[in-house]
Amino acid sequence: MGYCLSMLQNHTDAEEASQDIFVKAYRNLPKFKGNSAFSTWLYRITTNHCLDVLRKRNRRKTYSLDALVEDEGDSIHRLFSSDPVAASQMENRDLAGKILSTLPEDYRMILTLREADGLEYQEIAQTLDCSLDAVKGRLSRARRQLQENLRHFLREKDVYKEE
Amino acid sequence: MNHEMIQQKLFALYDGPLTEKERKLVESHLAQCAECRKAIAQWKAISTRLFPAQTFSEAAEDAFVARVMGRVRAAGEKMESWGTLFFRWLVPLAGSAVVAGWVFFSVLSDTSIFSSGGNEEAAFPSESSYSNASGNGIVLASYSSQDIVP
Repeated sequence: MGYCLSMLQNHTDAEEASQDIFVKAYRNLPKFKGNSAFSTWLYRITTNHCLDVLRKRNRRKTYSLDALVEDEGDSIHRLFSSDPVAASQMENRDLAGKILSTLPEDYRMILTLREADGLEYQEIAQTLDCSLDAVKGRLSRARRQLQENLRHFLREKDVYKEE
Repeated sequence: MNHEMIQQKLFALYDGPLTEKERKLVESHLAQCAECRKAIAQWKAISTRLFPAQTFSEAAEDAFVARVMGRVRAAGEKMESWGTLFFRWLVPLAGSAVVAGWVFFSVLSDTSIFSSGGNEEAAFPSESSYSNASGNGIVLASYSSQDIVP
């Protein structure tokens, strides 16, 4: 569900997609040969399903970095301050979704698999059907781009206070 | 390992999959390099805010499971109804069609042999002329007809 939410950026769509994915997995259970972990197989179905949804939803609202900073700059500052104003979990999640939507789809996907769902490199490689080196490279580029996008909001005093 | 090489390993340390030797090397570099420490600290700040642990209440999880199971059951019933239709009606119907087709073509082929026999008889007028010539036309004609059409 978290992975769907991160990919689709919309709670209703993520809920619907999660249901579709479980039904799809149930129907295709005889096709699961056990060559990979069941969770990896499920992640692969999820990835393909979310990509299909995104392709169908051409007019998906994505944010350019400039537009996001203009619209939500203050909120992002608050999110990254060491003493964040108590925003609701839902507001923070929406804002996080908007920030992630400034990244290309494959970066968002790999970051979510690693950071939110805690998949190992090997599991990510199986899920995304790519090599281990490709996973390391893409993950590294995705992190660098996200850090670059957010560099103005990451004040040293806040960042180091958490160490 | 120099700074560039360490930077490539930096996030591997954060993610965990380093050998003991590599881990010690990166950690000793981190102790001396402010730039690398900053990169890791920044990433931790981003990660905790953008990828917080997803928690769902037990009630929400139960509701989700109920919705999914409802759809799975509905999908199962739909598949079952197609299966019932297939085995109760389509299979016997297809079997009957095959038998009917076989009977039809058998009858058709019998008819065509019969008619082709007539044609063959007509195609060999020389036999009847031969029999006529021999003066025993009826016997020779029936004999030759049996011979030609097995």
